[in-house]
Amino acid sequence: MPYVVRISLALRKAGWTVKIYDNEAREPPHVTIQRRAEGSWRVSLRDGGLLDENSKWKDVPPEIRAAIVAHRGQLVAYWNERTPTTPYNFNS
Amino acid sequence: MIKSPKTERHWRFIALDARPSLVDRLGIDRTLVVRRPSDLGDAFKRVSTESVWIVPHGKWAEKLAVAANEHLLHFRQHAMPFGDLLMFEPSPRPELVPSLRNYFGHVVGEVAPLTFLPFDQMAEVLLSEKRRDLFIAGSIDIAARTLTLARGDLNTMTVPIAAIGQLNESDYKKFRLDDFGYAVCFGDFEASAHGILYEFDPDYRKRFAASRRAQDKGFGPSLKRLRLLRRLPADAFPGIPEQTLTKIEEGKAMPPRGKALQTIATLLSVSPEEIETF
Repeated sequence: MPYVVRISLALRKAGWTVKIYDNEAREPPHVTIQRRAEGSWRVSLRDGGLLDENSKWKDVPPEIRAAIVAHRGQLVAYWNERTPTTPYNFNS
Repeated sequence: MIKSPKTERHWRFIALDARPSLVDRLGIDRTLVVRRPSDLGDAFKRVSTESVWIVPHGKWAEKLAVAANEHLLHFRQHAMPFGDLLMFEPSPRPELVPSLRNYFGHVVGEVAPLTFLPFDQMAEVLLSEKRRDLFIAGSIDIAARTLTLARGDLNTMTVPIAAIGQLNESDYKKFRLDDFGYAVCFGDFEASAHGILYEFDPDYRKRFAASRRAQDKGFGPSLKRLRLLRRLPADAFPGIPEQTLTKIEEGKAMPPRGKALQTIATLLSVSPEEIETF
């Protein structure tokens, strides 16, 4: 089951989702922001930065970034439980 | 008479007897709606190899093949294929499949019943610039334990279900697509399109690798991702101490050469040159 970060109804209606998916154990700890079919942004749980050079925070509503910061503890705990091969403190 | 709000040489979509809601989402200015089989001949004059034919009912497949035949008889120089074909129901006659595959570039839904992305989401994917990295349909072969996925550009790929996650047959029955083609779901389990494409599509991997942050590029990080992908611990490589491997993965030691590199590649089931593509 993915970890879904709660965001406002207005953002959900606009097509935003924020999740840790179940098949990304090989990657550094991260959460994925998705907006409809327009694009996705992957955020490192280690440093809060975007994992892909082409991604820009200006394309993401500030409320989503704030929600990720607010949920960081739960996201890290969930990541470590689901993906023990790449725990949050591994290599950091 | 072809019902269409305007005429132009090439249409992006040709919808055969499709629901108005789907046409609205695809855009009436880029979708030619064909209501009667007798109008198919005119439709063939207005397509390009980039067009997508949308066929909601299997019964239209036969009419489409017949119309394509007749069009070719009259216009033998017409560039082939006539676009791509997206069928929401399989053809009732399997004998039609070879001709459909020859007349159209990519064909989705011609044989096996598929599970589709909800139509409102699918229309957005078909129009998206990122459609090749999103999934619009899929089918499961339980006997072979494979999942065949159709991408938004109507290319298809088949992957072993076991590579996606630890799933059983009861999970297979709960297969669905969501999040505008980004989520491949089996009940509560949700895999990302990124995770699947990264593992099974070398072209996607190459595109994605180019956009990685500087600290995630290079032999070491690639080796670590591939090792984790294969679910191997750092001490699984004979003759290469765990500490050495960790240093290589962190970029604190030189990449291995010769026999050590070959040992690592063999255990990871790739050639030495492929390691850095992960």
